[in-house]
Amino acid sequence: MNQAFQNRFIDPKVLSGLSNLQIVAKAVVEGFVSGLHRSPFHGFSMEFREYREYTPGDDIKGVDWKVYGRSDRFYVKKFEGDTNARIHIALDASKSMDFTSHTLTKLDYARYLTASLAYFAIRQKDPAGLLAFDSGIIHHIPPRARSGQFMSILQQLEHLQPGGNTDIGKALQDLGNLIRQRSLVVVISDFYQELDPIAKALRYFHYRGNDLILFHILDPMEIDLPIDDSRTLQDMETGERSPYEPSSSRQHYLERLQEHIEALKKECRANAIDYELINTEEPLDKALRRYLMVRARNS
Amino acid sequence: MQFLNPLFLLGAAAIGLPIFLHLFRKETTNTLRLPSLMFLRRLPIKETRRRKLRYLLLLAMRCLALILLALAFARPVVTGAWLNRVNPLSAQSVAIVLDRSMSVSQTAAWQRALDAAQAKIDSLGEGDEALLIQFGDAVEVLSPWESNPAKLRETLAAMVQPSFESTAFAEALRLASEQFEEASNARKEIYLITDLQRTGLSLGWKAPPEILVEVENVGSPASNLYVQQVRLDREVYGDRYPNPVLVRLATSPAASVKGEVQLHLNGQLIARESYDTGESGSALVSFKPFELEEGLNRGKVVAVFDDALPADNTYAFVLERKDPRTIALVSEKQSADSAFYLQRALGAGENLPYQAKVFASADKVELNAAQTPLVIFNDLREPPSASALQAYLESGGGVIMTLGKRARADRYNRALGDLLPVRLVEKTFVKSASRPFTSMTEISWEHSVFSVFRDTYRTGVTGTQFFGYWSIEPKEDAVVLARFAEGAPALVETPPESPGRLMVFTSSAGSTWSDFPLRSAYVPFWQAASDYASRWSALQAASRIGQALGLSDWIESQDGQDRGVAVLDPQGRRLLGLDEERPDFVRLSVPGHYEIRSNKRTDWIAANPSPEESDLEAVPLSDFQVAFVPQASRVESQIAGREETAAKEQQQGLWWLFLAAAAMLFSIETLLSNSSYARQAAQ
Repeated sequence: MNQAFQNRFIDPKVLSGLSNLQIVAKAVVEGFVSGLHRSPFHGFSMEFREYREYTPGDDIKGVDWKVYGRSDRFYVKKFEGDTNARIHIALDASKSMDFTSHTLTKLDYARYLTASLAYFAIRQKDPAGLLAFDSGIIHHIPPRARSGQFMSILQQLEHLQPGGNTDIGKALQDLGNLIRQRSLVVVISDFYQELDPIAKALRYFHYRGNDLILFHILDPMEIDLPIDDSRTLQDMETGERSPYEPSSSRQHYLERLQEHIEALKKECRANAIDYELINTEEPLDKALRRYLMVRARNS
Repeated sequence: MQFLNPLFLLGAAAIGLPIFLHLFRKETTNTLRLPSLMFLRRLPIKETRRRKLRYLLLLAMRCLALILLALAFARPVVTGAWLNRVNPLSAQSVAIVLDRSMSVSQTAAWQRALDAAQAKIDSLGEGDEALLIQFGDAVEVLSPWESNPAKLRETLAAMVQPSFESTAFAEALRLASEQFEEASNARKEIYLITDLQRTGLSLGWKAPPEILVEVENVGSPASNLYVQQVRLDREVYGDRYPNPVLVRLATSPAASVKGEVQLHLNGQLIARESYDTGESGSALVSFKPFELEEGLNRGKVVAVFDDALPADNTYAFVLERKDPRTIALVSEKQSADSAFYLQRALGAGENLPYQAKVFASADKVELNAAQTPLVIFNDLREPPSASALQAYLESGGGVIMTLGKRARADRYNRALGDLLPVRLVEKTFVKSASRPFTSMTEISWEHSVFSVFRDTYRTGVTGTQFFGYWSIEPKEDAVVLARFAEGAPALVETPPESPGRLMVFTSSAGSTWSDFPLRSAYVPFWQAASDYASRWSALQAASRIGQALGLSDWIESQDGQDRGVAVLDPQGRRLLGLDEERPDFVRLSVPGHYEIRSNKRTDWIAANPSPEESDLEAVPLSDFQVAFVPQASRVESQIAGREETAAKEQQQGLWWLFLAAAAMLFSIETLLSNSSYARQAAQ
């Protein structure tokens, strides 16, 4: 990875100094898009046009005559509206998301990610909506592509406060009931729940023909649990306390976490769902690339 | 428990630091909020409890170590009561010995002494026992060993009494030591409450080394004037007291005081004189002779002065005006020379208890012991009737026989062979040219006849020259009181168990066989011999407190049974009743006049405190310990500051134990915590 490419990555620590979500989203997306021209993802952009050979039955208005003049072949020009997808961004706003071991909480990171995805989608004329949930749906903005949609989403994100306990299965089921058309559902969560209800909800989405991307947001401390002395740990959602002995607790925790992640990945693979584990210290590009891959596949 | 440096106890507040750290770490450092504990293994409760217990144990050890450290630096002084609670072996038996002599019990020190005894009883702990002893010149054990403080307090309140006795430490300490044979505990202590009066000190007895002798000095410096001595003869044979009454006053410590001395007789002030003790602290006051009433006269000398011990400012006495008794001097005309000297000797001096009457023959003397307690047979040719003489002796009469040139051995041996303690052999005359006389050399100086010469005037007797004497053979049970240089007996008496006293002087009382009448020892010798033979003894004008007064002279025997006497002390309390079966003596314990009533007569006896007891000078504790306490057992006095500090130092031996315990706890705590952390790090 050369230096120029590295510079395009916008560090979350830098983003945390920006108070305006819109600026954050623009900075992320514009920086990301400009980098794409020199990246292996060449061809993905808002200005992309698709050409294919004319086949009988195609609207003759779609023939690009300039191409015909240069190549003497008939090509039909496809416009953006033809590949637009409805994007539902489901954001976990439970209390467990309000955690950080550095400067940016998981919820803040998820906000940036949501805003960036929404900006990206709306710029592509994709209708984007927001669903914030904890144990149920807190806020819901149906997907639209109109110009004020992005600001509505940002406004909701700005006022979003970490709430109750996590119940992803229930929230996704509720969301499933709201979606009438085939959509791209982006789930941003820490997935602190047993696998069964999550898997059940994911299968439900999958069977209805939706595409899903799971962004599994975790803080570095959650990933490594670098606690080397005896302490009492407290669950942020339930308030439950538990003694912690580094000698015996840490290894067990890491193994259980890894099992949980692997189980999630396995479930996602089985249902053709994209899964991305994201460390809140990592730049947002990773998530955006994953989104674009899925988006391109759908297109 | 007391502390020498109690401010160090504030250091115990340092336990707040580990407690704070414990709580602070528990509440802040040790709690961490995580998004979810769903992946965390729930530790077994047993393990967490064990860990909490270990932390609490470490905390407790740290706190305890800090407290012990503070206690060690505060230097605890441990009392017996506290020790007893923690260590049964430290229970002690305490003999509380209370000095109730006049110098303590008749002064302000008495209340301090009682308070000290009370405090000692109060300080007794679990397992301790104590008994109470009070002493003056006599010792009285008031209670058996008692572990109940309430009973000891009752005994103290009910039985401890002040007295006018003098002080005798040795007997009190000895008796107290003997009481420990019945004690239950291994630790033994004599708690002596006294004023450490110097006059009570004596050498020769020391407390056993296993007995701790603790001295509570309740005395305090005080000035005291007292009547040290009054020279008086009780019996007066005339209507006036014949001599000046000499009164010696003294102060303790020596101080110059002035005042008035009064002489009271039969309740009336009859004379007064002023006194000035001057630099020497003593004064001699003389009262002129005064008239006496017939019979008994009670009097007192009062030194008017306000001091710490008023009881010894008064001296009580009794004078008795009576007629002199008769001594029959039987002497034939041929012995007029020796009779002259004898009669003059027996009549020499003033206030003599007898007067000598000369009889030419024994037949003319009425041998009645009551009227004529003594008969002197002076060199009679014919001895007196044996039967009459035996009857006279058996009735208590006294006889002195002198043997000179007129005596006949065969007649004496034949007539009085059974009565005389000797058998006459022959007349013996000293014929040596170089030394034509002999002397009395082997003399029983302790005998009443010669004791007057014992200390100062032996040569008055031994220097007398005897030219002739009767060689005699003393009977086996006879008592030879003096011998001549040749070994021949000079003065012989009948054995002590004989009824009456019969003495035989084997030389002449005149100047023919000796120069004795010309010697200064002649008069006192014959007066002492007469006193002894007639069993004459005068009561003293005053007795000392603590003396036992025999009552046999007042007890009358009738029909083979003794009739009792009644004795009333100076405060009018009846000590003995007439018909009560009591010992035939009373112990004088209160100053003043005792009344003795019997069927024979009513008599008065005066009692006064010992003047030694009036000397309030105290002995240093070190001297006291040298006298009575073995080196190993010497401990503190609460008054002497240095001794007190030294004793407290001895009692605070626990400080190093606390320090050692704190160090041990710190070490264990370090080991435990290090091993705990090391185990955690390894895991």
